[in-house]
Amino acid sequence: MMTGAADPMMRFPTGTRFTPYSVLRNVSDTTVSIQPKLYWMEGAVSHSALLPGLALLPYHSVNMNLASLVASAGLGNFNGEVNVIFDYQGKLRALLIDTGSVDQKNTYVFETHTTAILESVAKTMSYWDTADGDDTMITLWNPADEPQSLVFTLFYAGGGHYSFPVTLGPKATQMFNISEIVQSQVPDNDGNIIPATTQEGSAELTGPLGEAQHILVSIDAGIYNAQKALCSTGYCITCQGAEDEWVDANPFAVALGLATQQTFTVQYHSGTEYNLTSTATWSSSSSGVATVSAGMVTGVGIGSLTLQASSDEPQYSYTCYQANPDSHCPGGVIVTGSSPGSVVDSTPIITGIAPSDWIAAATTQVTFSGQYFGTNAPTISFSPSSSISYTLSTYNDTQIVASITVAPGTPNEEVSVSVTNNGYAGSAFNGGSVGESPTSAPIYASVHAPIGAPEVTVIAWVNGNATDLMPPLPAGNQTLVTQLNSTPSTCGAELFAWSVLLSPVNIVTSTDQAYANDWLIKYSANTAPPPTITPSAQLAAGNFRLYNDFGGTGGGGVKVGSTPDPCGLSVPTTILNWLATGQPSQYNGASATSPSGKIYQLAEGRAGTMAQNGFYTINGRAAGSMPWIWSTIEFDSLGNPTYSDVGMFPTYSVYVNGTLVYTYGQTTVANFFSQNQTYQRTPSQIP
Amino acid sequence: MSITIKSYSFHAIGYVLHILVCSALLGGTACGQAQQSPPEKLAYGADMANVPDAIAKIKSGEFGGVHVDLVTRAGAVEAIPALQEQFRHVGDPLLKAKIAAALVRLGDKDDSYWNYLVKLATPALESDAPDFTNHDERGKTLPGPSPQFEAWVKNHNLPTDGLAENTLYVFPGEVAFLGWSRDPRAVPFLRQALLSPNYQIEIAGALGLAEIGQKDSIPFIINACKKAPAEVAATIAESLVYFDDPEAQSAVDQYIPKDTAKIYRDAKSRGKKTPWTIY
Repeated sequence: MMTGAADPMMRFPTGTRFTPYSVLRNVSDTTVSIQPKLYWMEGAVSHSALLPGLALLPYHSVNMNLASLVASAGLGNFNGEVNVIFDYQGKLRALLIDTGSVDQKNTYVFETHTTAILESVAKTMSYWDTADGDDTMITLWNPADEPQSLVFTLFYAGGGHYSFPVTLGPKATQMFNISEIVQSQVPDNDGNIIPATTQEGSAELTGPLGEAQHILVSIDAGIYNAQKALCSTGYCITCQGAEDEWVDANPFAVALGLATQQTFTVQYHSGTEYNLTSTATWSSSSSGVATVSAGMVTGVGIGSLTLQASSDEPQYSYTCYQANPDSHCPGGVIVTGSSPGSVVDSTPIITGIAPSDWIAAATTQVTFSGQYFGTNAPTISFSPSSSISYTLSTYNDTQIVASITVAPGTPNEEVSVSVTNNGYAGSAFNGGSVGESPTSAPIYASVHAPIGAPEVTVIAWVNGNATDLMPPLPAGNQTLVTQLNSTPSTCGAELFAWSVLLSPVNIVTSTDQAYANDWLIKYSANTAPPPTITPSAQLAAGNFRLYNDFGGTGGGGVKVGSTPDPCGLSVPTTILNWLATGQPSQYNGASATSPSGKIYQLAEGRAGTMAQNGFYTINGRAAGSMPWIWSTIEFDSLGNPTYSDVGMFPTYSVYVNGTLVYTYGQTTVANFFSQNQTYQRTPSQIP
Repeated sequence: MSITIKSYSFHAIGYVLHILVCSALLGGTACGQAQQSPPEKLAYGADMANVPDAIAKIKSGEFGGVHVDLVTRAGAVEAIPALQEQFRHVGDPLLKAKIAAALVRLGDKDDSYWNYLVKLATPALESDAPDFTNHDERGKTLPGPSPQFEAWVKNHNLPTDGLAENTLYVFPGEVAFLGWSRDPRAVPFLRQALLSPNYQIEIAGALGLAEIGQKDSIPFIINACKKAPAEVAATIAESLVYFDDPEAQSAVDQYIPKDTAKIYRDAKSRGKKTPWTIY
């Protein structure tokens, strides 16, 4: 409400003064206790004062004589705006309030809408007007105890828009006229200027982050004409917020003992959908069937349940909120979505087979460990199966003991083994509609004749203790050291700058280059392989084959494997392209017999794509100058290594019959990074 | 009422002056040390004396991002024809993006370079993938993938190969090109990055806005800090170090450990005026 001399910018006749008024009526059948509180601005600071309280009898009215009360608060000579909060105790909707400001000649009357204030994501105003001497006055009030940054956006014909930033301190008020914004002709943050001929449009008040931010603010507006002494409320203010909400999977199912991530989505008036899974309140109608946390539903018992998610969201008011019986945004309402679900039997999982090396022409007592094998007699399957049979000794839901017999003459081979759950307590397996299978994924065992001939396995791995890599790393410049070693996210920002943005950030000197190279090797290193490896690991790798299961996902073959993410943002196996990546030798199989009759192996390794880019950037190198590094290792008839051509990178550990017999160390870090051509040999070049 | 007028031309002038001052300081240091112990060798990308060599390498086609970076930071507009030529020939999308960003930053008016950068960054900016990493209740970053990320991958039926490096390194880097170009058109995209569910993309957005020197974005960056786990917030807040603004500096003190903030500020006082400056 305005009090005192009119603001000159509003262009009222000189001498116009306003007086605030407020008339209250109790429309209920019980007495209402009312405590008014006055707020006003002095400079940029908000002030407040409690006004005398009053009790209003049933069906009685009272003129508050607000002008007198304002004067009693020491504001007799105050020129500006005041806000009044009426805090009352009584029945819901018991109080009718008519407030506003009127000039001394009763020419200008500005009615003020009384509203309760609740959160919303935005408030939209349907119409503003500056034509024919009209103007639209906007009043904002921040009822919160902390400052709020807001954006008042004007929309006008032709799809134009203009953003006007407003910052309100705690309990602070700001008033402005739209004509003033239009006439300023100052570009907004996006460079927009309102055409000077613009005279009408609509507007929206949001936080700087738009829908992603909730605001708590009171907005009032009036279209007035100082010359014609007209004032109207020909606009509509709508509260923006949630319009619909749901749990995405409806219905859903989850297997016993497993978990499924459900999501809760809220759609705002704009059509934008927000995933509130992590912030919603989740509940299960039957905690004995399934539990839920942050949308992750875990099946704990066979049965049905109803899953519910809810969130306290500002809600879309659909209509002008002045028309709302409570005259406020419909906030503070819990929006809820639900979904029926069920928990069913789970696919069996084999976690271990002991022992996993089965000798041909023999019977081995084998223990299968795992889950969800069922309590009815399970079925064990093999592939290839023709030479393997079994009898069950004992079984329960988590363990099976069986006698496995392998026929004589069975070749050395890998055998896949699976378990089929035949149900519980006489009932058949029920996997429901979620695709749960009664049969487990396969796990692998090995069948072989007693080891006679030498079996050679080579494990390639990146050693974090290269000869020129001194632990602890020598300190480079402090910014570089901090970026790489403080937190994973900061380290990640440094690496994407080098490897993707291709910018040598913080690499100032040759010492910095050396530090960065050393650091990358050190923190991308594999764990050293053990002194012995099992016969099954040898068989999985194959005789005389390059094999690496350190940082990889198993299986052997010709892969150098992956190295850990040096920043620690990911688990080791997921950064496939960081330091080293394995490639099948182009000589197919990586081992053969040389022209001289000796057995040899070719191995190759290289930095991954990400690392190549990083190294070019750090070391000032041209793209494509990182070499492929090859090695040649030769063995005698007993499998012992007799010759190595080059063991530049990475480290090669040679095992004979499962025992580590030789390690070819990798080159120095500096030498590795200084290479600028591919080193390789063809089979004909092997001695 | 007050409305702030942005002026990017002031930033551009300030940057050119900075390069000149930086070059003069490097030259003076080298001369002064010639009489004493040998100076430590500058890295290739930090040594402005390598600008002619970098231009020659770009012309020859035997070059990398570091050469493009160097000539761009030097403001070597004479390299524009060679960069335009290499943009047509280079196949690697990241090196191509580096060249495009360099041409934009050097003032080439051909919109196709800018459009290339926007197209490259758009999938990252529009992705709704949850953050890859885990975070404990004290805001410490723990290795990913997070359960939410794994569920998202499963729901979208995506292959897992390369997801980690794309999410953690490649996508943020692709967004970073927009900021490295120092083009004001990047501002709305980088502000959008601040709203990404992927914290590394948020970091790229904040650093990019600092690279441009976009003071109006300070509240947006601070808001991103407020929402992020503590360790991530400290990384986002590094961008605020480079703004000579009380609100930004106050946020630096709030979100970055004291010792780390001192290191960043010391580097700034020695010439590191933006996140991706080599001083």
